Amino acid sequence: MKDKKEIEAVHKHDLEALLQNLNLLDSFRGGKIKCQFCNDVLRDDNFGAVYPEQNKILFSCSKLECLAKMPKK
Amino acid sequence: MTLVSSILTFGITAGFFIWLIIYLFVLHQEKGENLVGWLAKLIAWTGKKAEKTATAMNIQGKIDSFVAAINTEVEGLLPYGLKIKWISPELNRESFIANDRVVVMLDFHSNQDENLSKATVLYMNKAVIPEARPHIHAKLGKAIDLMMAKKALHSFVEARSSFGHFVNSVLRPDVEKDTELKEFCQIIDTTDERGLFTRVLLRELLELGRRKAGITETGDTVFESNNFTKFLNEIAQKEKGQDVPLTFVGRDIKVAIILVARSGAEVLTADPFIRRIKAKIQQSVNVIYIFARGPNTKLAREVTDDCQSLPELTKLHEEEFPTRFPEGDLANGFCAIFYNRKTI
Repeated sequence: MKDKKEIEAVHKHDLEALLQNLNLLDSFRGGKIKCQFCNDVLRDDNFGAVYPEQNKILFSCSKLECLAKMPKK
Repeated sequence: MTLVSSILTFGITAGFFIWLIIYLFVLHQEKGENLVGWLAKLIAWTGKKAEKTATAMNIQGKIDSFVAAINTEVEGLLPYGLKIKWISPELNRESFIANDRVVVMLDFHSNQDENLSKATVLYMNKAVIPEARPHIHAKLGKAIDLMMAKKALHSFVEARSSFGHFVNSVLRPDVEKDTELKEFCQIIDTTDERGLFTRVLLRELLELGRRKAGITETGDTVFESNNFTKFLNEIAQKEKGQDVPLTFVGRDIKVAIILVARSGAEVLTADPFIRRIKAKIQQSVNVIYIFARGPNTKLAREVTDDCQSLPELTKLHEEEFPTRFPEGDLANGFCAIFYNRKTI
């Protein structure tokens, strides 16, 4: 098993710093960031994933049904 | 004498450790990952790095163990292991967009069930027969992802809550609202119980993807792979004494399934099966699959042994595995796979 498929991850400890660098921390804290699939407002306890698409940054909540709809990148 | 004994002791100890390192980190990486994950978990309280290592190794070890188990059924079916790559939170917006990757958030190592189910869903999305995707029906591809994630999560016995959570929140709602997806999932479930899902369906789709690499899909191969899926489903649902087609000759998929079975007290030898196999070689099938269940496995082994003396055939695989009769009873199953060198 030489080859590995990478899943990129951010640890919960580092989420705030990542969002800060993406200039999205204020929107996140203000409840303006929503799950692309179910439209739920994202918070610390339901943050699932973040991904770029067509020059935009989109998000998924932590529900498996939403993560399963993520693009194959 | 003391010097010789010291040199010998040193040599044996060093040799043992070199062997252990090769065994854990080259031959069975999943075991090494589990060990490192376990050690890192013990010291996870010491800092972020140990915490991250424990989280990543624990997930990688479990998924890579599943990959290793599946690859004993079909070599190279899941050619990729999993690597959790922690990204730097210092990444700016431009670099993040240019990187064009999904970044999943993982939690503390104590919340491993949730981390494991997230990683399994994302891994299956990427790793199962990626080359074949343009040549199979999108719903069949989705059904394969869902059923492989189900199979993996079911195998993680120590993380059972993630299995229940996946079935209730992803699999069930998805199949309930989509009859076509439901039909494909049912086919996969039935073929899996008979040992045909990974050993035949995924194996043939994997080969199909390799054969069609770089060729633009026109729809013909999607049609053919759909028909092949239905062909296998008919075999999986076959009842004792019922005749169903056992040879599939498409443009790209050409296989023959030899079911070694007898009806009642009939005494059989390997000869009629060998005659059938020779006829299939003449029909230019690519691959011959020999299957048997229960008491017929002994005869299937004889047929397999005789096949090895046929110059046209090369044995690719042979194994015993647990299976079910259509009535639901468990049985010992047997499968041997031969490649026909005379194929065109």
